[in-house]
Amino acid sequence: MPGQGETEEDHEQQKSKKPADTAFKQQRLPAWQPIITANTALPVFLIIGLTFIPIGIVLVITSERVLEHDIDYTDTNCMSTTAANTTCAQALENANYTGQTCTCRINFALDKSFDGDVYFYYGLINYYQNHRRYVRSRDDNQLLGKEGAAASECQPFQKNSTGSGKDYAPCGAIANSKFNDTLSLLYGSENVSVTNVGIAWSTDKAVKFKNPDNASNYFTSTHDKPPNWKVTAWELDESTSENNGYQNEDFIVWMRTAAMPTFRKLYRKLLRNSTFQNGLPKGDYTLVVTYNYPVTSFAGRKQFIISTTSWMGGKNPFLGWSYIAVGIVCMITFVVFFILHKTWKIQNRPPM
Amino acid sequence: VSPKQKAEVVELIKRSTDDITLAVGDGANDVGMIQTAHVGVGIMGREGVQAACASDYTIGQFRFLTKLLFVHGVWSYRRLCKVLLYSFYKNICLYVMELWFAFHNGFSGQILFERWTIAIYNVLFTAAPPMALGLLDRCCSAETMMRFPAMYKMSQNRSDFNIKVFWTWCLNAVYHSIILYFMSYAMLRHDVVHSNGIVFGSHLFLGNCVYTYVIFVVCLKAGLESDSWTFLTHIAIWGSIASWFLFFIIYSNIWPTIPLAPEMRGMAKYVFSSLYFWLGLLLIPITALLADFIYNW
Repeated sequence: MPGQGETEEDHEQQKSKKPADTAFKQQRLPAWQPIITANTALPVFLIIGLTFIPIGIVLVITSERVLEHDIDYTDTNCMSTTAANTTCAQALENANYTGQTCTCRINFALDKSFDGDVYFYYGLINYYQNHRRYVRSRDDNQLLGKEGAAASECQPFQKNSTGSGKDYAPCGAIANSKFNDTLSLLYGSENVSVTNVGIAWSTDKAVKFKNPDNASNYFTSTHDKPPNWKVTAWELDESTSENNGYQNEDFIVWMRTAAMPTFRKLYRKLLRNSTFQNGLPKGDYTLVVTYNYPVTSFAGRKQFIISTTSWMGGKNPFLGWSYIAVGIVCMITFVVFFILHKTWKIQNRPPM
Repeated sequence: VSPKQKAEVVELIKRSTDDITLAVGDGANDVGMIQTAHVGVGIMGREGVQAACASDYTIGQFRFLTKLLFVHGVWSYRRLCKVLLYSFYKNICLYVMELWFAFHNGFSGQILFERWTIAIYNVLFTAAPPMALGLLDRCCSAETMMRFPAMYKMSQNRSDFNIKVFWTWCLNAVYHSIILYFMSYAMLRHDVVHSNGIVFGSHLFLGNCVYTYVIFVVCLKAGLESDSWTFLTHIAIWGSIASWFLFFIIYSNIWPTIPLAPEMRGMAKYVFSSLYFWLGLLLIPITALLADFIYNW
């Protein structure tokens, strides 16, 4: 078919004006023209239904196998061992007890043994680490150990303007609000062996967080500790230099701001030796808490979470049930339209 | 008949009816009429090029007018409508999610996605599908359109773009965004999506998962809406998805070598190593598009 815009006279003189007679330019590209008919759609629903339902069942079972034990220790559970009839939450608020640390012991029992790797988390509820002003309040260049003033995004936790005038290290609201409760477990009278290595993202630890040169001087003389911290960053783990300063894994874990206002963060992992070779045995345990972190002013709650994992992750049956639900919907759709198709012989649209 | 009278006839029709007018002519005396009509078609040839210069469309012979109207006119109308509706749809689908996330971040204005991934959404990741829809889509071949001129009717009765169609697409976008966001949120709510117990942390992890699902849904929706899949359509759809994966991998590895996006460092590694992400990728886009699939059927 001749291209548009040409006449017989123009043909010899103006060959260059004629549009190319290619399939693309003449809108003749071969195409697959899918028309969804009963014959194509019904198998789709059947296949989806038949694959999704078993997947969902597997996922639900996997999630049910994950064992989890939560202990809320915000207030009434955690009674101070030193002050009578006071919860640690109250002790923290009470001016009489400033400077003293509050510890409490919570007894609980695991009625099933937690086999395999066991992970210990602290959980916070009603804590908006995803608030816009909070999320931006950090200085990633400072966390790389680079020289320079703390970024202005860290304000009002950029520098100690009322005191020494020095920059905070680390600066920012995220760092300042670092979780500082200490949680440990006793199995009967024996300490449960835990490790704090490998709890942060490996890329964070390897690449994003580096201590500056001459770290001791940096953290103690040239910079101040954040206002809410009890110790400087260089005292976070004095026994292990790779886990000290900015490279402290608890700090790194905290700096990765949670997505939702109810979240958990990995605190420790079970070290599987001697009694705990196969995991946490069934029995009586005691949680020993050094309660430093105040949450009652914003109706927050704190939890200690013991959990195993599956090949997928933690305990969440939502995905499994969703697969089952969508699979069932597809099967129902298949059955309904199959019946309609057979009984009323719905005609396909005429082929184009 | 003078040129002015020709133009006045067209003007009369325009004023007394609601219809779209088309005027076709080949001489200098048709210029007025061609310009007055909504669509002016000039025939370039024996009487010179003035009519052609003044027109919206130029054809070489009068008989080409049928193909211009019945084939290219209808195709053009349908393509334009699809591109328009699709452009609204894909942007609403993505950006309304910031509203859903606002319910979970205390309405602080925190965005769910990283800012450059948002900026490049329309430029790279979802640019090709509307182009494929607009340039290549056709409901039927040229021969069929010429054989059944009655098909021209579908471009005359505003079937493809009207208030009802527009709002249906907008609601469809909101529906997709609800499924995409809330299913991802429920799937990732418990924080531990790796077998080694690591907490994924970071709203950006959720954001990148959701963003990947959005790209899938939006590109596949373009495919669903497409009446003809040429090889370029395939490239547009699968290529867009691939470009996001490629960008995501590269972007997750540039800090601190390039002082950009510290919050993305390591994201690709942790997102792709999470089985929840892949299982969600199988489930969530399909769930979102099920209703569309049934509707198109």
